[in-house]
Amino acid sequence: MSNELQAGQVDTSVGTAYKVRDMAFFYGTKKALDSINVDIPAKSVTAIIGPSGCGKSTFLKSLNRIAEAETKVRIDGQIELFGQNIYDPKVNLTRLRKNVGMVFQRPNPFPMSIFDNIAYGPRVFGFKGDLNELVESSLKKAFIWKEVQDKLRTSALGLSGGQQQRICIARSLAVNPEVLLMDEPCSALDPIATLRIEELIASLREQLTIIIVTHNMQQAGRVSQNTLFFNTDETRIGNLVEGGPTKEIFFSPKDKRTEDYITGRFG
Amino acid sequence: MTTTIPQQPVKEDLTKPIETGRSVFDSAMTVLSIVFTLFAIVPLFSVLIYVLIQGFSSLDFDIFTELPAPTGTPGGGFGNAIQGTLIMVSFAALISVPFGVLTGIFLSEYARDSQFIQVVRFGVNVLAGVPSIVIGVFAYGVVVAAFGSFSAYAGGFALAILMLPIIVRTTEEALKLIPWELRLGSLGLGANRFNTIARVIVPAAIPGIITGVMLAVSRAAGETAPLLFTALFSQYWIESLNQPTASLAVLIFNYATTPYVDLQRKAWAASLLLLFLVLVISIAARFVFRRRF
Repeated sequence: MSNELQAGQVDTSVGTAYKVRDMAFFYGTKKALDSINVDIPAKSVTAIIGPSGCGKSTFLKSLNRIAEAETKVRIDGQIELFGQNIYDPKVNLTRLRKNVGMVFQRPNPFPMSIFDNIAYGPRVFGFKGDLNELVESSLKKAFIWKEVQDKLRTSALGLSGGQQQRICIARSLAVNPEVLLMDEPCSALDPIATLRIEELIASLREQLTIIIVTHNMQQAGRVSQNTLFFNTDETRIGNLVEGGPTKEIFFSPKDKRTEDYITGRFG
Repeated sequence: MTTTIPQQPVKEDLTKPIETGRSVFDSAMTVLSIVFTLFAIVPLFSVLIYVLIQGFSSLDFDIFTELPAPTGTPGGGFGNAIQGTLIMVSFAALISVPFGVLTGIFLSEYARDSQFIQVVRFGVNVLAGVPSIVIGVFAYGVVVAAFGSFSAYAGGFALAILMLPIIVRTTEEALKLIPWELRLGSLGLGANRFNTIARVIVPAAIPGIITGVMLAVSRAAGETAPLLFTALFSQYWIESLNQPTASLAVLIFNYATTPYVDLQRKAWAASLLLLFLVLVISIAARFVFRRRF
């Protein structure tokens, strides 16, 4: 492979979900990411860490093409998901995003009932089966069924932040995605709610490819099998410094900058 | 063992008042803003209370069911004006609500900053500033002159133009208040733009949109100038929408300027009724479209 990472090859023995080659990302004319090359393994958790402004979230938002819903962007290079180029002009965004769920930094349940929140995706896609059953199984997968089973018809906005975030995860799971992108899903939550989400991530690992952006390095260490370290310099352009099995990144990083970041010397 | 922290004398006497100049100015500004606020609400409450007192004493059941009596004859009512106002405002809402709400959605949700949007937004703002009498003249030229008759249609058309910019602007503002994350949440699930807007964003913004529509309805129900040129007035019940039509606003204008005490009292009753009508419609609409979640 010509575009191999310089150091710490990510462990893709379980199969590859995303294959990113020579990717550059522009907001308008401003370059935000440059020469990203990485393979992201399937059915495991990949954490993305790095200081603020290094382009972690931007990278994540390019994986389900939600970045272009916010503002004018341009992507060079290639991103393949299970062998299909997701920036092919023929790609149906609806189908792509159905397969690549996303959980955001601040819980964003819709202002409707808990049931309708979960049923939203399936209804949009004209789900024909038993909606009650699907809602129940999605809530169970997100570890929140027991807490909400008696109040499915009440507003999702009445729940606590941690519960809302699990509702958002259940909402994504209801359309049966292959990949779940998580953009600092615990940054607005307390430690106990965070722990619940982390347990949930661990339980979903075998069915899904999970990519999680986090500021919390302990969290990256706890939940992920592989870690990507993004960084930026005075050019303000983000790049991927190093990626590899989480243990290696944390205990024997090959790059000085990774080591400095992990040990808390900057960031 | 107890740790002792050495006591430092406070450098400045904390009870010493600040310079009198500053504190006097501070109090003066507070008093000034309270006084001006009171002055500002005096006219508002005077109007309300005066209309209530004068209107209530002039109300009777006949005004709802009777036609205006010939001048100088006591009794009679203005059921036809109530009917006319209800019909013309409904007709105006029927036109302006779909156009206004959809334009507001377009401005807020589609291509927020394109050049075209700027032009549309500017046009809406200009329209909001057009005096209502000019709108009346315009409706006269477009509808009355073309069809050769004053009519409820023409009145409704003029009121619709009056309502349009209010609805567009309040709809746009209500939609902009909805957090951007909700749109991303919906798009992230694979929903397209139509589903996102129709199932998530508009339902979330409904209370704000309804407030705007009610504001426009209140404005339209009370407008006289656009109706003088379009619906004119009538002494009879409405038989077709294609003929001159009475309205509460024009009735108030006509009766209040007559020297007859009986008609002046009717104008007061009509004013009260107009206030009451707007209030009832607003409360009903808020109840029907209240936020459930």
